[in-house]
Amino acid sequence: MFELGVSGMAEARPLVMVVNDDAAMRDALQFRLRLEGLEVQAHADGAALLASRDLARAGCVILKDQMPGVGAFETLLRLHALDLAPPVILLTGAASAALRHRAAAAGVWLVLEKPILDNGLVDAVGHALAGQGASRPT
Amino acid sequence: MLPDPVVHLVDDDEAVRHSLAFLLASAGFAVRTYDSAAAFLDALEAVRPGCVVTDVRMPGLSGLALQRELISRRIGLPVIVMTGHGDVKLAVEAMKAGAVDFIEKPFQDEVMLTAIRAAFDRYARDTRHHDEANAVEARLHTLTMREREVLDGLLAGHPNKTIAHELNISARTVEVHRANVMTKMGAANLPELVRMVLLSRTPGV
Repeated sequence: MFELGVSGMAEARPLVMVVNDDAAMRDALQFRLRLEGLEVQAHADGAALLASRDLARAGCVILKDQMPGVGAFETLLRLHALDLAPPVILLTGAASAALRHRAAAAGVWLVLEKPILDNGLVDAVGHALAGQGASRPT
Repeated sequence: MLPDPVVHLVDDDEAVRHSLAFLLASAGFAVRTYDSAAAFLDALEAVRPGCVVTDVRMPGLSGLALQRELISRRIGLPVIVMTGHGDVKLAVEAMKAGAVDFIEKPFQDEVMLTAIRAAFDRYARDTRHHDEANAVEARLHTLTMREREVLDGLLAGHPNKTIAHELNISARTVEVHRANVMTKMGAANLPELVRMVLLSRTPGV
């Protein structure tokens, strides 16, 4: 049905997908992650992410909470509907108990509250990439 | 959906604008930059909630003057002021003028990011407080003269009997008024009623 890219795990650098409606944030996050030698793709909303042909290759997805259009939770649902379960980091301005609960139920790997200090994001992505597969057998 | 709070960065130094905007964006904050206080004030109508970060010393309108202007226009955006090393006098003045924080340059990234987070939280709290107080105020206006008098008696801590005596009506009538006050104010019990009215009378914390 869906064209799932054949993964060339060995030679490919891990792909991180950033979904953020704020252009400056998108650029900055992309820049920080590229500095770490990661391949990064940035999208303005969930719809653009889901339309990406590289989606199946994503080793980690960073979703911003509170986006117009296809938001974080809608995106998660659709990812799962496609049988894709990359570790998802949810970026939020307010990590309330309710949000954490909802995120856990939706299969979010990590809720990251702003401000992201120092290497918070880079470390989180590193762990997500390293733990992937082991933590989520399908 | 709540819009993201925005950091409004007002600084005449282009290098500072660029590097600080990048720092804030990589921390996950939405940023808008302005090269002068005047430019920010011009954009004020369309400005989204959040906070202001500005340098206390700028040509034209200084950060301090901007802060005063915001207060006189009743814009409740929290202001974080950046000061030069040893600018203690200006820092003190900024705090007196209502800045929520001042940050001495050069600063560590984390100091700025934490200050902004605190300013956002404060703004959200103030806004909530303000909305709640307005709602209570609106409900107070639906009370009749008599109901207000009974309310004042209740707030003073008087029992029905005393209120009845003071207003020269029967205790039974006070009970009826009291029930009406509770209903109109949407209070479940007396403590809630008292809390509500006190809140509407105190400025934001």
